Amino acid sequence: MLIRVDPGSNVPLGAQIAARVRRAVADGEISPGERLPPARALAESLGVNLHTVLRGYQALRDEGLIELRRGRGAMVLEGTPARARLLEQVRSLVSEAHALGLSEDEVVDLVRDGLRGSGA
Amino acid sequence: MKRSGRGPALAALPCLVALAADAALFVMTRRQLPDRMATHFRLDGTADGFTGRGVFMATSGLLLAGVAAIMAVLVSRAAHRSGWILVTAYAVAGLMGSLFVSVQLVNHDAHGDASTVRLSPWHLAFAVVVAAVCAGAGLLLARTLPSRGPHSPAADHARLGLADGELAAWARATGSRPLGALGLALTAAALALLPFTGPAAATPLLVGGLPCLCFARLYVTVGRQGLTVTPGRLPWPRIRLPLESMTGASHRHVDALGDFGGWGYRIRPGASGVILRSGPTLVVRRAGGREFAVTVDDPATAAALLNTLIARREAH
Repeated sequence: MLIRVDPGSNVPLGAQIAARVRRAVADGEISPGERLPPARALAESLGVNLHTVLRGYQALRDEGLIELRRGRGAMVLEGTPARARLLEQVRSLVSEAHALGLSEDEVVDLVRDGLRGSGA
Repeated sequence: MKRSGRGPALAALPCLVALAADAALFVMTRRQLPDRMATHFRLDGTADGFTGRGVFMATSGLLLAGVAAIMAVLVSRAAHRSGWILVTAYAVAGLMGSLFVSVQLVNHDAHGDASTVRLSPWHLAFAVVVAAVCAGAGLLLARTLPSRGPHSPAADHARLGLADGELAAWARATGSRPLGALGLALTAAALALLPFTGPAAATPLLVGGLPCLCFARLYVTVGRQGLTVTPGRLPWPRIRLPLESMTGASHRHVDALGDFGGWGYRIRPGASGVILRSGPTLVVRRAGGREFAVTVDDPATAAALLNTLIARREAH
């Protein structure tokens, strides 16, 4: 898995790392059960702070994509490729909504309407 | 890829010559051989194993023919540097051929009673000398083979379109399922045997099994630090090649047996490598001209990143 980050971008580096891993999981480039590179090794390879990488990994853990265990590293969870694709769509929904100038409540309402529409 | 037609024939030749000598002696003198020949010997030279003479001839013939076939296949599959296979083929043929002939000769001398047959240490020493002479002949013949240098130059020095200031790293797990299965089987056998046989039988199994388990899965990392290979679960032992020690990276298909003579951490003239399977391999050229190889999927991306980072480092 190739991880590229741009320090010049206004997206935080940790978020860039998380986005790259999310993409790799969605594409099947990394399969469930596989381990992500150890945070320390990745930080050294990229030349960024260890905590930057950990912040990215923690975001992925909060999204339910990976499991983080002390001493065992980061492992991709089962059933995550579809979840990763959904998470990417959520992100693109949010950025489109921001571009349109919608408020948080308006976005949530839209999604709720969508959910009710599909359930009816 | 251009392959030499002569190599496989040269590799099969010594075992076929040994087979011919073994068979010719058998055909000429089989009436003087006992029905059950002495074919297995204790260290002091007295016989402790016996085989029918027909079975002896068939087994020795099949063994030699099998080794001839294996050596020919190995040479035909080796991408380059097949010399060591020739040396091995000639040494093995010399050792096996002279042992088979010696066994027949000592059985003649027994005049029908195989239990009195002795194979003295001198026969063994003679076989070793024959093997050494044959190995020398193999070495000389290997020099006459056209050497096939490293290839796929098109894959060399491919670059990654990395923007100025953009950071990149590449990491990938690599490994060998058969090696992991072997390690698991040996370790399980050791643990299962421990209560019954004590540490005597379990220790060698563990000594074989645990390293297999540890090294069945490796992690290859490429980045600012260069190239790092670590066991999947342990931080040590690790192999690290800094960027400044490399002149370039490429990728090619490696045949584990043909190119590196097996699996594991391999050292060959001009190259070393961590070879866990045959297939796509990342190959780094080091400053001294030696190569370091590691078998890993998607080596093209890793090689392109390394070349990009090497170029960036040289520019600064």
